[in-house]
Amino acid sequence: MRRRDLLASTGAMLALAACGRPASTPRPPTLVIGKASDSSSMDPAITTASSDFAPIGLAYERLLRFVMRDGQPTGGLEGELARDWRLDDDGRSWLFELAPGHRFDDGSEVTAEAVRFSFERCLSIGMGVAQALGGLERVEVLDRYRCRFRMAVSMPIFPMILALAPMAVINPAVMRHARDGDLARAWLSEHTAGSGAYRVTGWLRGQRMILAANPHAAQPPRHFQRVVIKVVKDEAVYRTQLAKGDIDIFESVGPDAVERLAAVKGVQVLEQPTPLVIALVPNNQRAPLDDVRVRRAIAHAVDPAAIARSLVGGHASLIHGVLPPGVPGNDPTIPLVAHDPVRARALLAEAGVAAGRTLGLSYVQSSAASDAVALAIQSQLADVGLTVRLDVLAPSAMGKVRQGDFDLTISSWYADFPDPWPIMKFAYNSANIGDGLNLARYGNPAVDALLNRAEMTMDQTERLRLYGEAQRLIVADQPMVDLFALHGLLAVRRDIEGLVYNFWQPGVYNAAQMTRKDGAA
Amino acid sequence: MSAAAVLRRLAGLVMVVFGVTIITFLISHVIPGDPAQMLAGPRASAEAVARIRTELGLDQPVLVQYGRYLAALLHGDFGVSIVTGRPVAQDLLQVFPATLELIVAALAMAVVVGVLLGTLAAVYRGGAIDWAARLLASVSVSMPAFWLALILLLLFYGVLDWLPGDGRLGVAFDPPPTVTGFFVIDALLAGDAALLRDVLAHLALPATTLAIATVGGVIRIVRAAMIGVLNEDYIRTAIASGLRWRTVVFNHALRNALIPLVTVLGLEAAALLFGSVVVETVFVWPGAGSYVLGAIFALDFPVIMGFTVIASLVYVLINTGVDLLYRVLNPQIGEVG
Repeated sequence: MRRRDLLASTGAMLALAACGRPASTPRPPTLVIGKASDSSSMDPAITTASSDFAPIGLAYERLLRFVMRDGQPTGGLEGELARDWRLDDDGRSWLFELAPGHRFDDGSEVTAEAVRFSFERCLSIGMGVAQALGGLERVEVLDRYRCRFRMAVSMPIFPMILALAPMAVINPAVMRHARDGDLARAWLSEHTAGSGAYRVTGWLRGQRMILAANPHAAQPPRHFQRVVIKVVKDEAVYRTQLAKGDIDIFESVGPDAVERLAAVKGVQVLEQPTPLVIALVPNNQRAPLDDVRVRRAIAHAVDPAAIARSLVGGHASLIHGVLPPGVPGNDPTIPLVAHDPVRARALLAEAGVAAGRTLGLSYVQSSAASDAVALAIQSQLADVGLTVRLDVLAPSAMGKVRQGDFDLTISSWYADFPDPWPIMKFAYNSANIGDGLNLARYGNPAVDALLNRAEMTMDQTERLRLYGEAQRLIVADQPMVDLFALHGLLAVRRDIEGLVYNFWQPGVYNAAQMTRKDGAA
Repeated sequence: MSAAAVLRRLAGLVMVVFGVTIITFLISHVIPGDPAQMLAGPRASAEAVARIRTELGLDQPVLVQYGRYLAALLHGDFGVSIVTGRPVAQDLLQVFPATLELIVAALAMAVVVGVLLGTLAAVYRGGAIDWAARLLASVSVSMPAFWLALILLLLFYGVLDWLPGDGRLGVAFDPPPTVTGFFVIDALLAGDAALLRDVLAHLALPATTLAIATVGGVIRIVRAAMIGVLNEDYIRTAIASGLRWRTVVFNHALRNALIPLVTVLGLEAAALLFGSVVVETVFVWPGAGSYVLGAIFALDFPVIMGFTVIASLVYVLINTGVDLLYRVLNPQIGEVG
């Protein structure tokens, strides 16, 4: 092609292309989900971030799933791939029987061998969700559809763990993509190989992901043949896109956006309590915070209700005891700590803490609200004579807090499923001081003993009794000041029907069961 | 430029990039934080974290880690992302062209508009065009890019519905076959007019935002330089000798006035390489800024290193290009550096 011809054709193409907004192309019924951050990996064995859950939830099936009611898990489980499961005769291993007929997106059937492959791959990689499979030794294939999860210890919560989004069953055929012993990590980080209703067909990283219906799925989509997961970071942008119908659901709604979103025609904001606890954490091993009177004084000085009202617009629940509403063992009879600065000053004086004593508050700016919470705490503690020095940390520098080099910090705990275990074990068992999540460095041998017993006890009533007993001891020790449990917020266009959303496991959608009112694409 | 000078430049370039790798590697490895802990998750046991640390080689002395990194880098291997397990080079090949495409489009718009307005403002100094150009320059340099981005977005996407609001591509299209990584060029090469239209439409708002943020500096530099040049004796001589006004302005004056602009554009391009992240965020433009920001939060060392090496390479190449352009614009200028 001569230079002039090339220039002419390029010019013609550009002129043609520049004629206004591109026309929309007819497309199959599509559900568009917006979220604030892109997936980092689609490999279920790697991820622990809820921002990765959407494609994993859509493209894979798990053995079990949570029974839901009004956006909350009831505590019950039902089979997804499994049609039956029970505790084995040894009292700790679990037997599972698969329902026949579930197929991966290449048409091959989901078998017990695929279950073994998936979980043993997870243990071999040892990252992400493997941390929740600590008691699992191996998976034994009994026949085509039956397998045994051989456990080293009793783990009554194990079936709950198997219902979490990343506990996906992967097609063993992915091993043909393995390179240098990576167990197909690189390939699975950007592809899916599951038996869910969809499979990922395109990913423009940082922008959007496209999933098409899995032609072999046991439960094909009722309406949406395609799901697009888009990244939208700015509130004004996602609000506009919701209003125009360019996205149907937005999952990263901030509390300050609720009113503005609710005013958008055709959009509703769904709200449910979640077990995400935000807490002010004193270092229980550093003076003067090693004195329970000082910790109690801080609890009386801080006003969680005021902070929740002013900073998250009241989209939060106050916590009686240490277990948030919805978590079994939550005890509304345990009174809230009263906001009482006079009592706080008296306790500080009793403990010999001089007025003007300086304490450092080390925290990570995980969101715009972090600074506001820190400033509110600083101001409220100043009212009782404590000077708080704010020390902002990089997210990667939380090791400093884990190693106990702090006075006060702000942290959060989360229960992934309806059980006291995730919060009680990690936040309050002294075994998790240091490298674990017991940031308060709280240790009470009586509490440890109760928690360790509860963790192994198969009888649910007895477990809850043990956790209840531990909770009362913890409340008396006041190792932390629980501020509130945040509510989950989800913006949804009103023409979307059939959405069943688990606010405890954000990012997981039942897109295959959803429809658009009047059947419009 | 002589062959020896070119070789000297290239040797300098290699040394700069080498120095950058040392500094970045040392800084990123001595700051507090543990990528193994972040990767294992908050509930992982100490043993699990230690095992991951060993697997990643993070338990080795920093110098050993650096030696291994450099050896791999010499073979074009940027390593594997700690977080995603994907080869970093693969990711960089996606995100850098996205950012460069945005920057090139923005600079092209800023140069065309800025040079024209700056020249006219100088020629008609004190007139309406001069006034308008200076107003635009003031608005450009004083308006925050994120605010401008939101305003343009709400107007052209939200209200008028003329242009799409986010990303490089609509959901109805697949990316063009990768040749350059620049979607505009690749769509042209693919000969797909509908795709090209979609790509241009997606490029329009973010590129215009960056162009408006840049054009103020261009106008000011060109105007000031042109005013200086137009007062030179040789320009008066050219006019007195009967040359056409347009020829004097555009062939003689502008050519010399562009020399300071080239310097500024070199700096602007480098600044945009790191500074476009705000605009990338608003328009969900999957570029290098957003990519490395996530990596910094996750202490993903290979990604941070890969980005820094490529960015410093681009930076040095831009500066070398600026030096070469000096000589093209004014052959009397001696070799720089």
